[in-house]
Formats: sequence, C-alpha cells, structure tokens
Amino acid sequence: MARVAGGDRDAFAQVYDALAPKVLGLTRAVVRNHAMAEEVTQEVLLEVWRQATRFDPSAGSVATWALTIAHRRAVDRIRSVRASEDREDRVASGSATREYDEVAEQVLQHEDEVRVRAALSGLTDLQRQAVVMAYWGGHTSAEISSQLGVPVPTVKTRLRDGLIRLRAGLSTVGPGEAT
Amino acid sequence: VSGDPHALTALYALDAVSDDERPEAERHLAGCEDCREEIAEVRAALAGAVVDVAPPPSMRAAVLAQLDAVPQLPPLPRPAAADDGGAGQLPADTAAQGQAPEAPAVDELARRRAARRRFLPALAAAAAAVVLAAATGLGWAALDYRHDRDAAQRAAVALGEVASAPDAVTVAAQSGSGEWARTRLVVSRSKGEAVLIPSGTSRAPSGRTYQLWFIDGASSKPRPAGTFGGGTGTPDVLAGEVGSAAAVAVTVEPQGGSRQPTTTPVVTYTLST
Repeated sequence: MARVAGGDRDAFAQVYDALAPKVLGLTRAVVRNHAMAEEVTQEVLLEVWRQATRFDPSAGSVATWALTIAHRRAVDRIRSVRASEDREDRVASGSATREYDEVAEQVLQHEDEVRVRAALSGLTDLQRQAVVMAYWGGHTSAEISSQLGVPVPTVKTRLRDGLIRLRAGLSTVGPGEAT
Repeated sequence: VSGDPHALTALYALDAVSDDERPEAERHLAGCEDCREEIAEVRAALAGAVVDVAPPPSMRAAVLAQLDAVPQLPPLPRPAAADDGGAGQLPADTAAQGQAPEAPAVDELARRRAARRRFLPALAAAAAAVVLAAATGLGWAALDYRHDRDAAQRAAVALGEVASAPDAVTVAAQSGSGEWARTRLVVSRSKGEAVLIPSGTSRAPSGRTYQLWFIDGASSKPRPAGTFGGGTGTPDVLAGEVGSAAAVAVTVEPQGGSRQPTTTPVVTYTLST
C-alpha cells in the first residue's frame, strides 16, 4: 500500500487483484444487482487509489479499510435506489410493498448466507436478523423497526448486543483476518 | 439526545445510521477510543463474512485506465497528539464521505450517475455502460479543469446523445501507443456522430494540435474532423458526418490543422461496417 500511496500503478494493480473480488462480493450482497455492484466496485477501487495516501496500517488491514469504503457506498446506492423506487411506486401503482416482505436472511443469497451465519454464529436469532437487515440489507434502525413491527429502541438494542457478542466471539477465536 | 451514544456506535459500524444520526455518531466517535476500537473490530469481523465474487476482466482494465484521471489525495498531516483520537480508520472513512475538501468529486460523480440512471432503462445496456464510463472521466475532468467546465458539459450532453443511440458502439484504440492506447471512440452511424474519449492523454506539443480524421477507405482522402489541444480529458465531438467511414485517426498537426494528415497517426480506431 505504501507503494500505491506513492502513485505506483503496478502496485495498485496487485492491490486491485487482491481487493476487487472482495469488494464486488460485498457490494453485490448489499445492492443485489450485479451491474450496479460492478459500478460501485469500480468507484470503490478508484477511491482506494485516491485515498491510499491516507490509509493507516495501524488501524486495520487494507481489506477491512477497502470494505468499509465499499459498504458505505453500497448502502448509499441501495438507499438512493429505494428512494427512487418509492417515488415511482407512489406515482405509478401505489404498491410500495416490494421491500417489505423481505426479512432477515432472505436478503442474502445462499452462498452469502452460509458465510454470514458462520460469522454471526454467536448471536441470538433476533440479533442476527437485525444485524443482517442493517449490514446486508442497508436498512436504518427505523426501517428495520417498521419492517419487523418492533420499536426502534428494541432494534437498536438488538444491534448493539449483537455486535457486543460478535466482538466477544472474536476475542475467543482470535482476530479473524491477516493484515 | 437520542439515547445511548454507544448504541449509535453500533449503528455506525453497520452503516445503519440515518443521515440525521450520522453527525452525532461522528461527534461521539471523535472522542471515544473504545467506540473506535469497537468499530474497527466489528468491521474486521464483518469483512471476514464476505464471499468473493470474481469481477469481469474488463473491469480491471477499466479501473486501471482511469487512474490518471483520479489524482491521489495529499497525505494527512500526522496528528501531533494521537491519544486525543482522530487518527485511524475513522478519518479515512469519513474523508471518503464529506470531510475532505476533495470529497465532493466523488459525490458529484455519484450524483451524475444517479441523474443518468433515471433515464437509463430506455437505453441499450451497452450504451448505458458507455455513458457511465464517460461520466466518470467527465466528473474528474470538470473538477480538474474548471475553466473547461462548460465545454465539458456540452461534450457530456453530446456524448450522452451519441451513446444513447441504439446502434452506439465503443471502439477501443486499434493502433495507438502509450497513453493513446486506452482512449476510446463512441460511434453511432444512425446519428452520424462520433465522440472521442481521450482519457487523460496529455496536451499536444507547443505550437501543434491534434487533428481528427474520418478515413473512408484507401482510395479516398481522409476527411478532417476537427482539432483539439488535448490535456483536459474532455470528450471531443468529431466534426462532420461519420458517413461510411471505415476508420478514425488522430494525428499531430501544426496549429490550426492541416488539409490532410502530415504525420503518422498517434491512434486509429477501426469502425465496423
């Protein structure tokens, strides 16, 4: 990454090879549209290039850093898609229900689901459901609340407790990734 | 106060904060090392759940070709007091999203894409890809060369019109060395128009200009299709009708252009018929 930060294109090509499949994997799981995921992935890889000068290796791995950028962008994208779908729905048919029959793991494709279940194995079902809807579904706590029909504070508590368990699980198995 | 600030940290780690909640979360994180650590760990754990998906080979070329149009940010000054927070993964993340002065570049790109997306369903997929790819180049070009912004916007409109034609195709450089190898030409025979996407090629040498040519065949003279100075990344609409041209070429000519090519083309594009 230091070479990338120095503008080394060959080094970036290697970073690309290492990161692009992960970034596309994550963005596709979130936006659930392959073409859109590829667009977001390109944006993210260019962001990695642009921000390489600001990557801090002491704060985590390159992959985690890149996936943080990727996730934020994927969520931004899916939210703007939903916003425009909602507008169209209101104008067109009034059937704004297409998102709301999806709950928890249904947002995931099968291959993702297996891996996510493993990663979130220490969580209760309710916690996992909330975390999946937030992280892979790109939903806010208010949206999760209305989809599940539970109060917002309950959703926030589930997310918070879920992540506490996620961290606790990490400390027993050790850090889950190399830098 | 909307409840426990640590609860907001969990939402932040998952990118589940709403736009209203984000500033509060970021304020809290700036002063809470525990929460920053939590976020780093949570994100690392979630990163481990990602299932790799192999991107198409074309994406690699597309990304690498755009590097020249994407200047790297200057490094952040190292914080003198690292223990007061601020350092680490968080600034990188937030810098991507609005704190760094350069950040609007990407936001603008995203906006342009969003704006285009609204009418994309009407377009052929290939044409859509062209528009998006071109918008990428334009987004940066317009920021890097503000004085050329109007020209860039006109070019964007023209490019959009050409690229949205049902028969629009993107032609890669056929022969072209160095920086010209990654340039592209978007052509629609039904509209009779072609647009060059110069992708960060450098300016023409002093006192010289780039000149575009339609080449109809070996037996007819190349038709001049306009000149440009280059160096801006701004697409250039070719003057004149594509007609039955079999190829497009770019040569370096004396300022003002020539009646026919006087140098070997720096790049050619072969058009399908």
